[in-house]
Amino acid sequence: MNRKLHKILALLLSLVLTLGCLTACGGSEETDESLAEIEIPTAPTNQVSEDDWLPFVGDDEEVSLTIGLVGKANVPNYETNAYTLMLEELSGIDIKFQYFTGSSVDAMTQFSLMAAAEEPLPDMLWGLGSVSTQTIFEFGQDGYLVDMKPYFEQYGHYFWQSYNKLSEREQQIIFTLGTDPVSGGMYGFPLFTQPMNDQWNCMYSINQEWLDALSLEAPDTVDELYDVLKAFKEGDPNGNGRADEIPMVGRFSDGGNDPTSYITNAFVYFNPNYLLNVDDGKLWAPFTTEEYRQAMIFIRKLVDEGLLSDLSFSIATDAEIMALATPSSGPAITGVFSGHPMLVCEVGNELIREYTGLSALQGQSEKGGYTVYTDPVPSFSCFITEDCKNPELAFKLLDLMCKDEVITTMRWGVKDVDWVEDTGTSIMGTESHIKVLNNAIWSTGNQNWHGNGIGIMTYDNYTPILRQDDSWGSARDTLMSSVKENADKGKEKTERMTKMAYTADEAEIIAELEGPLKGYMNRARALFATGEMDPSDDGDWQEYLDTLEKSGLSRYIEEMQKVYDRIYKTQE
Amino acid sequence: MGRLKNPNKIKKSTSDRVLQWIVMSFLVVFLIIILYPLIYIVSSSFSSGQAVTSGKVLLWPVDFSLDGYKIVFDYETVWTGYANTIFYTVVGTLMNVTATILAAYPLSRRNFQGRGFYATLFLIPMFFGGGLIPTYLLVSSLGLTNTRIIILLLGLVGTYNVVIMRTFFRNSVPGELWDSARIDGTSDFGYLTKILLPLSKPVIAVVSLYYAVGHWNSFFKEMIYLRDRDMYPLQLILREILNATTVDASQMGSAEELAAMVGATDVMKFALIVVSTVPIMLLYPFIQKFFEKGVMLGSLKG
Amino acid sequence: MHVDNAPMLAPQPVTKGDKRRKSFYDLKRKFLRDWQLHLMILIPVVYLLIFNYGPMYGIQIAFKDYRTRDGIWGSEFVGLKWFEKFFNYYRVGDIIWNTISLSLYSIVAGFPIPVFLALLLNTVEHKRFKKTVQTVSYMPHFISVTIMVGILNMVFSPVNGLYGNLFRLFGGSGFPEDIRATEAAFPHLYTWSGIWASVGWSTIIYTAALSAVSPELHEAAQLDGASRWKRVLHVDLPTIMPTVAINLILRMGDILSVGFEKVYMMQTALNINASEVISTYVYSAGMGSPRDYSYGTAVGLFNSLVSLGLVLLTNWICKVLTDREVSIF
Repeated sequence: MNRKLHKILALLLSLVLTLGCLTACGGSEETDESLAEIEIPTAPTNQVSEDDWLPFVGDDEEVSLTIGLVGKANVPNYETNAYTLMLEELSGIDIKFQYFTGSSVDAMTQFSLMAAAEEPLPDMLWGLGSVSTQTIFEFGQDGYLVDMKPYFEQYGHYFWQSYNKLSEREQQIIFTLGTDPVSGGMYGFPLFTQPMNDQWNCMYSINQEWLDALSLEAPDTVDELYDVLKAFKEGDPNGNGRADEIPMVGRFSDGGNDPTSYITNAFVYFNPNYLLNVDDGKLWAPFTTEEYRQAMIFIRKLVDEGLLSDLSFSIATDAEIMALATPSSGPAITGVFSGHPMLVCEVGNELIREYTGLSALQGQSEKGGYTVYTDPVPSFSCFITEDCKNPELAFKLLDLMCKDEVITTMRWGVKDVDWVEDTGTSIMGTESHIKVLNNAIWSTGNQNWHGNGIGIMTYDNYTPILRQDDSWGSARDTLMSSVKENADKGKEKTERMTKMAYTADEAEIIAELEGPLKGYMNRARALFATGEMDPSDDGDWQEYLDTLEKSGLSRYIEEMQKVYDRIYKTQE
Repeated sequence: MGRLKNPNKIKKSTSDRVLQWIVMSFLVVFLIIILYPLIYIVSSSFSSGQAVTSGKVLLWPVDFSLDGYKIVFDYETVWTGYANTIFYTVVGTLMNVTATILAAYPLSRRNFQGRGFYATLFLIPMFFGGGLIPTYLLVSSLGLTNTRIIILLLGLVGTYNVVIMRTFFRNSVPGELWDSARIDGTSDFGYLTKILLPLSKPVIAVVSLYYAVGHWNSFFKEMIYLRDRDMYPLQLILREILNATTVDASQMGSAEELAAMVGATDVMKFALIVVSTVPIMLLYPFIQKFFEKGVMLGSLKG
Repeated sequence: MHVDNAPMLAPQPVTKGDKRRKSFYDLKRKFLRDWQLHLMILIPVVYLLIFNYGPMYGIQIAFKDYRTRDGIWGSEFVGLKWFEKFFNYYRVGDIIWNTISLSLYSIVAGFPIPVFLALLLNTVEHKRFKKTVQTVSYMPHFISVTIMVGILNMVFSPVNGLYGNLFRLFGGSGFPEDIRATEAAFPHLYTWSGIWASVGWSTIIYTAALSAVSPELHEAAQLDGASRWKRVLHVDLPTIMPTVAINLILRMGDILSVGFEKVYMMQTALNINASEVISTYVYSAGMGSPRDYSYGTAVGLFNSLVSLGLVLLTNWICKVLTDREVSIF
């Protein structure tokens, strides 16, 4: 029995290896190594009037397009949905649906399986927002997805109207991120939202009542921060005779909103979402510099003296940070907390009124003193497939979704039923003309496609008027506005890293290094802060630098520099 | 052959009674440890969203509310989901168990020609497989995508279950039965149906349970192969519902709405667990009947 | 003892040709004797051949750069590239060790408990109590990993969890050390929560095996004056030993598949030294491109080979220890 088994296994293994060798014969063609130039398309020069533009298809013609999308549970019937009917009426196209399920990534997997099995594909794919650019580029190169670049220039209409409302930085990234460096094609229609109220990494709130009780001013420098936190700890500002004050706390895992980033940015510009900084077109790592080391030493001091709570590094749930920032009973116990007030403060808890926004600290050197902004990044969620017989029409339909009224309907529902036109201010401080009557998030009414978000969402067509009243909600919004105001007081670093589009080979190397590098860098921050590694000790610091080198930091910077040069140098 | 009446049997010795007490106290502690999180889940599902997010729920529901369930059952597709899942589970399990028996019985016979060969054949796929893409290509070329058949068919034979059943056939059924059946001239097939299966109720029950739970919780192959939403099982529907209510902060117009949404999602997750697992959990008491001691006793007397 | 109805007299082989004829004759004879069994096993075998062996050619993806347009056969051959990539990670030894040690811990700690529990439950005379415990104990198996990690985080929170509250109840001030973040506590939290979830479910198979224990054996033991406990040790336990052994062997096959979801959710910056395993590493180093599929297949193949090796090893050990009685073949 054993012998037979051995024979069978040996046979199997050699079969596998032979297969491996045999397949060497089945190689594909060499991919072209030269990369394409990134050309930014421009709007068509002759603007067509509204009446002539719509509908695309006359009453006498019958054209239908099939859209593949992830069926959302809260849309009972896509065929009869108000949003669908609106699109059909404006465009004259009969819209049919093919459903995928799961996340956009799952949907793309299903799509790639259908393509591999050579099954008929839907004309378009909509709303697959989380598909990676690498996947899009590969399918585009292979011809499964249509290159839309020429269409932008010929058939773009509403798209350009919204595009022109965006800032230059926002405009640039839409095309640089969406273009495949290998083929120069743009395969996905962008999904982009102008920054809403959580797009900056400087959300810190300080307890104004405590400051008043101790006759202090909000801190401007790191030394003042130290003094204020110390006073919070020792001065019993909440007046209950117990030393239960937590001077500063925040969730370390909160991306750029963690308390250590706040302090680090006073020493050197540091955005934990992007490992590298850029100055004069040159990429460099802030977390190996002497300034960063000073920041770590200072943070270590704060944690050591109990001024920055070490709970920050282990809190795992929303409920915990809420219990610390806005405890449900008793006085406030936190002096400074970091994080988005909407997620950190308990709803209805009156303690929120004690807090106000805290501005970024002034720089210890010219390298620091910044407020970190996360720039919103477009995703490319709509595609036209190779099986589409009418790609120009399909593109026009995609472009139609950028029409202001269409976007508002997609998000807020039917006009005059779910929302009306009005004037007022939005939470971002911009002018808004959308007054929401019925925010039916969970409703299974059939009025819109909430969840299949598509198009260019600007302040104009997307942000509703803020509801003003004396409620707790407005107290929170007051805090939010104060936080934003203070965030704007910090310096803005105009030259900063953004997301870039890689070739498949670049992606391979960069991803391999980036994941572990980020992991170790973050881990080291926590270790320095809690004292398990001592930043002031030369041995520990050198070990930190050595581990970064071992993880491939230099190589990473080199590769990223190459990509950066390719994308941005050609722009000059 | 009658049972020997032992006058000592009726009286339990002290050591036995002590053992009972120790065992039962241990089990009570065990029960509490298991129960606490379960009660927490059920209580959370009946609480308000805000109570759950702010961590107020400790043991009993806080701010009793049926919102979590309301959200779930608002989606009418939940009912088709249930119907589909019940279908896949019942029919699928029947198919699975039949195929497993057909594989396990021959493998349990020590003198079966080719036993080693077949055993290896079953074992290899446990470790090596082609993966998603070639399987999909195969199913597509057979024209079986978007059908109920393929959902029932995929995973027809689970090697682990075959091994369990084969071990039971071999070790828990006395060999003498086979010898006496042989002498009577019973065929292999006859032995299987008339003698072996009636004695194998425990293992059939266990394997049925394993397959049934597998079908009940399955969602991946359904996600890949099904396109018609009226064929979707419950798990897929519930995932869709969860996705639909998961919130993106940038889409919120106001603070309360965001908080309400976040809370609602938390409660809903718990309600979803209850909705999707209570039916299958109710199955166990029925299966338990087959694990009663001495189930084989009657047949031996025959 | 096996009664074989083949004729006892057969011509004895003399020459080599005779031997070959005899073995062919043997084959035919055995086939005719067992034809019903072959027919029975045919159905599952056909399924296996079509749906498991049919697609097996896909394993070659581990050696290729799979691209949809080129198909599996036409994609570019890259040899051992993915394996090199995996083994070039400077922490590859650590993550393999983390994976194996977590699994072994689960097996050593978690494997005996369901057996023990099944034996205990079996001795309980009070039927209602027994049924209640059984039914409740297998419910945690159905709780999704997400919820379970959420509950874990909640219970062990130093701020507002049971852990923190107990600490303050017994006079502690402020907050206790947060064990969710420590490297040392991670394996324990991970393993014991896993045991909590699976222990009841795992007893089912043993309970079923126990129900097949002949009551006559128990009676005979009682006659000999054995206490209940002794009967557990000498009657119950040996009866279910084959089931236990088979389970163990098969369990060894899962040793490298420390599930991704749970570890990923329990990872924090501070415990990542202990919590980075193969599956989470492959995910974090993912390029977000179709190449991840080829890479994942290669790592999966590596896992499979190791698993197979371990299963065969454990099986061989069992065969030796039980004198060929217990084996998965």
